[in-house]
Amino acid sequence: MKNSIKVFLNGFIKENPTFILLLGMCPTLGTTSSALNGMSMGLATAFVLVCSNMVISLLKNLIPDKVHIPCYIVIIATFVSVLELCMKAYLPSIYATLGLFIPLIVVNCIVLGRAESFAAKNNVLLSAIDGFGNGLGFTLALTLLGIMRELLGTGRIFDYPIYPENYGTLVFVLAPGAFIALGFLVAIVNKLRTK
Amino acid sequence: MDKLLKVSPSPHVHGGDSVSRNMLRVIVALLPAYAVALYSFGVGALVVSLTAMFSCVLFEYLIQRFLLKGKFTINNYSALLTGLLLSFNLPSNLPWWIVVIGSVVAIGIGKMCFGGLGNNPFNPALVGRVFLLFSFPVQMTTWPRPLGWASSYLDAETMATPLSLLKAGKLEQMPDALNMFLLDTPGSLGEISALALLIGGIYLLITKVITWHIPVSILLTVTAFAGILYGVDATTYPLPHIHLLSGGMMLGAIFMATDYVTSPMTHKGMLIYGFFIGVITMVIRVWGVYPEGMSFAILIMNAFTPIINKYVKPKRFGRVVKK
Amino acid sequence: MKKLTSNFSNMAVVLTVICLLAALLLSFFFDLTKGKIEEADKKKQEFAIAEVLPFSNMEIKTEKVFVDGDSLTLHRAFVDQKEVGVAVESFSKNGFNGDIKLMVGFDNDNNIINYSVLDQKETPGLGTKMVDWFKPQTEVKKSFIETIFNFQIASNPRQSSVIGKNVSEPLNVSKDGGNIDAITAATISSRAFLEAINRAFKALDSDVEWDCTSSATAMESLDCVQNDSIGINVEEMIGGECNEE
Repeated sequence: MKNSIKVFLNGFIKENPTFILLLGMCPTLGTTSSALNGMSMGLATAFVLVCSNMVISLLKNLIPDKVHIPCYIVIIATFVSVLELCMKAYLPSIYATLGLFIPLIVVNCIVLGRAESFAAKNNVLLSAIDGFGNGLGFTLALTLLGIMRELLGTGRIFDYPIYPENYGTLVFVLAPGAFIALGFLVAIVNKLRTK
Repeated sequence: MDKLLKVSPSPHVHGGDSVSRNMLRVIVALLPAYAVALYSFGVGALVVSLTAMFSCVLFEYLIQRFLLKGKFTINNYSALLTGLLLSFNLPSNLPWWIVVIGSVVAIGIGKMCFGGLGNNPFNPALVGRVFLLFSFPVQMTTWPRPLGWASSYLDAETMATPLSLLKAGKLEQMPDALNMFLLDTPGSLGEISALALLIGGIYLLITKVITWHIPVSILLTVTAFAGILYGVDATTYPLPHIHLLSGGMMLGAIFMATDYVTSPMTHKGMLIYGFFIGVITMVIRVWGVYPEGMSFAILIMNAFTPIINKYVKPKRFGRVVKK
Repeated sequence: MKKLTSNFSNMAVVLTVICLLAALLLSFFFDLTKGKIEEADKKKQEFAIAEVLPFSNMEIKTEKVFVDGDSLTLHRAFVDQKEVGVAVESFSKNGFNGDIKLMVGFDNDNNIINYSVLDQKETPGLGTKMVDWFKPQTEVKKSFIETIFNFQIASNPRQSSVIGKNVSEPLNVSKDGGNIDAITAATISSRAFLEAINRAFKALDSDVEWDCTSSATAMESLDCVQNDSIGINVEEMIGGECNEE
């Protein structure tokens, strides 16, 4: 039990994939123009992480070493496709905004990275917890970044107006603003960590 | 080599050259253009420039005091100069709080993030300007009519700049060249009078703050580029002097691109740097979505400056050249 | 259990089995979601039409119309066998950053009921404002800070609504002598928008002679200059659910 909490916190905070390891930058920068988009992308990735981690840790002894990368990618891609189909069917509006970034979860290095470094060595339960922790850590990071960008750029958080939109600094909704905002968030996290 | 370098034994007399003296000279060189700006835009120019200068110095102080906890450098005039240059790149009817945001970005992100003066890869004033251009596109692209002297600086009468007329293909509405040369073109504070900027540039050349390489190579490239386009199709492309006198061309070539920290060190490097600034500016002006490309071109070439410095080096003394 | 060794037969068998299982799972989910996805796509289209034609129990008949060589899609709406309005999918190629696609609804007198922007790539904060700029101004929702300190920043009044307009002559931005205020600092996007509206109107009425790009779009070569090639051509009908007229 203690171990599983440790595994969860390791992915969620201590080795947060976005703020500490700086992995998965493509969806981090591309989908966080609003808090809702960031959160949906994070949750979508978390779903794939948990499923792929579980299946890979189940099959870890059946997969010969030389073909483990193709096998992992097939498994991950399967879950991403399942997710894509389900989103198209049940959440079409969110799918319309995230669009291309959903299939791109396949090449998100967090997913393959966790499969390689954790799921291939641990049991199913721990792997699921690890996937859950990392996925939530990713969601947390993307949501924070989305909140920051949406608030600075349009004066809203989750579409609730905080201050009049005319005073928003539009660049934060655009790509350059993503880099600037991420830089400041990473700086703040580093500052808090070294304290 | 017609002149030999004279090397004498010490003691040497210090030439009195210092960061603050050079900065002060650039500020002095900007004064004619500043005077024209004050004359043309009145109280708006005053509000925008004072806000920019004051907030740049203030934020440099605050960042050094509370974040970096390092040596204070606000008395070397570099922050003051950044503020003045930033305001030269802004329209005179910009609300003061946008100017303050621009100053925060120029000093904070453009300069102090990288460790202060001397370490910044990009021209801080241009970082501030481009940030504002993306963030407040409406306010940053409505230009007050010069000599309009509105009673309140925020509701000045607005009009299109020569470059946006050019982009819209309205050659016949262009102001005439003499007006653009003297003072009557709408635009940012510092880009209305090419003459005043040239006077400042000549002062900088005489006092040896800058060398001729960067401005001349930019202006020559633009002239050649615009000349070729004019030769190809005289009905859609204007004469080269329109490009030279409009927008931030003079301001950029003389004051922004020649920033010590962000431009190459060797003369050959400066010529290459200037050439590409000219080309990129013209490409953006003619085929890009923005009417003016000077600030983007300078920022892009700022990024290439380390590479230019690496590959365009003077021959080391004593090195044998391979045949 | 011991780990399988990496010999050829093991690798081939494992890869094949995993791929087969993946395919099986995917086909299962494909079947599961197929109907839903089609429904969602259809809803999207219906929603876009319903946004510009606010009638209940509409029957939609879709046809293609050629305007100046470009094919536009017309959705004619019928209530109780009577035509109540037309939704036109129109476009402009003169946007600031690419094509602009609109759905414009007209009533029987060819007045604009409403429009909705289907697709645009304009500059955020400038051209993107076309989504509601050309509709009547509405109260802006009070923000948190405005509620707390009890004030409201008034938005400038403007004359930009195209709703209710009858496009008897091309709509133009006020800069070009028309009576529609362009989006502040985004005149090119506004011109392109009005061009798309004008084109939609032209699709309704083949007698229109004027050039839908009007005098304004000086940006690039115009694809809409020949006025001679208008023809109506009923090509398809959605789902066969509308009755024969």
